[in-house]
Amino acid sequence: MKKEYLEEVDLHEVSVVGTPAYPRAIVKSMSGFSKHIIGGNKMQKDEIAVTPAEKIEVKTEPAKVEPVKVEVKPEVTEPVKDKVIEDKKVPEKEINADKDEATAKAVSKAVSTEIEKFVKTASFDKLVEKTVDKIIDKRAKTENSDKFPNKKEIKDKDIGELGASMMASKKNI
Amino acid sequence: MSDFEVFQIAKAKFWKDDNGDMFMKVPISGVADDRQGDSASKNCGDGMIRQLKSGTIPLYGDHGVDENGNKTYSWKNMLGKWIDGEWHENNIDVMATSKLNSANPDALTLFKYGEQKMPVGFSIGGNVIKTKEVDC
Repeated sequence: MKKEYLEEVDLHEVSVVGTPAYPRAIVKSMSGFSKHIIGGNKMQKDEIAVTPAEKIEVKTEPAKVEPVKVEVKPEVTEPVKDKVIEDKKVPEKEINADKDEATAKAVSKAVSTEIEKFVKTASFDKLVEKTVDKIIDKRAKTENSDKFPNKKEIKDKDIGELGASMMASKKNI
Repeated sequence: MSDFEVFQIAKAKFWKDDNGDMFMKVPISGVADDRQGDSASKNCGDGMIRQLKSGTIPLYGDHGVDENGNKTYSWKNMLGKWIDGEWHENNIDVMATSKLNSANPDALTLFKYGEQKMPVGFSIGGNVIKTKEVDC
């Protein structure tokens, strides 16, 4: 007859129990009950070793979005200016007195109004869309794709810059 | 302080320190046969004592089984932690000392059961790493 001796036990817990016939019983690893004990307490030991702060403090670097500078160049404003004049949005006599400062201001104001109207149109949205696509294509070639902002992020950011740039440019028209 | 005999093997002790913290020192294992006829070796007892001294072994009731019979080991049911271990002078029993969890009402109940000399027992739970079969 053989007798089994326990040589080594990984102790996970010690319980108080109500059965006097139950002292010093080893919960054997081959039983389902024991497996539960192992899992539950192993996790507990690991939790002690790792502080919550170490677990949740994951630093991520936000995607860098470069501001987009858009200048409204004379080749854009000039046709608008011509159309303003063509549509007679500025009194003819003022146009004729083009060198007059007051007339220049009136033309400039009319051009600004037209550009502002254009900004609110679907055509302008398409222009922005195209610009954003170009920016994405350009950056995708030079930056890591996993750090690259999505189209929505870059569009929201760049439209703001684009709009501000437009407004700044209009002052110079 | 109150003492009582546990299974005629070793004496259990329940006491409070000057701060009112509750402690107990009870036999939890040893080289005598357990209910399954198995025995722990001296080496196994030494290993248990080392682990008890680490202060990370919890004290539960009924091996983590809750009132619905679920084996949860919920943190809420933790009755205390084991803080020390040693061989009894009979060299048969492993004696373990636990600091009872004063935030858990059941720990106070256990302490009072000890004072009332109720014959509660103690059972170790864990993973058997190594066994040895010997002819007898």
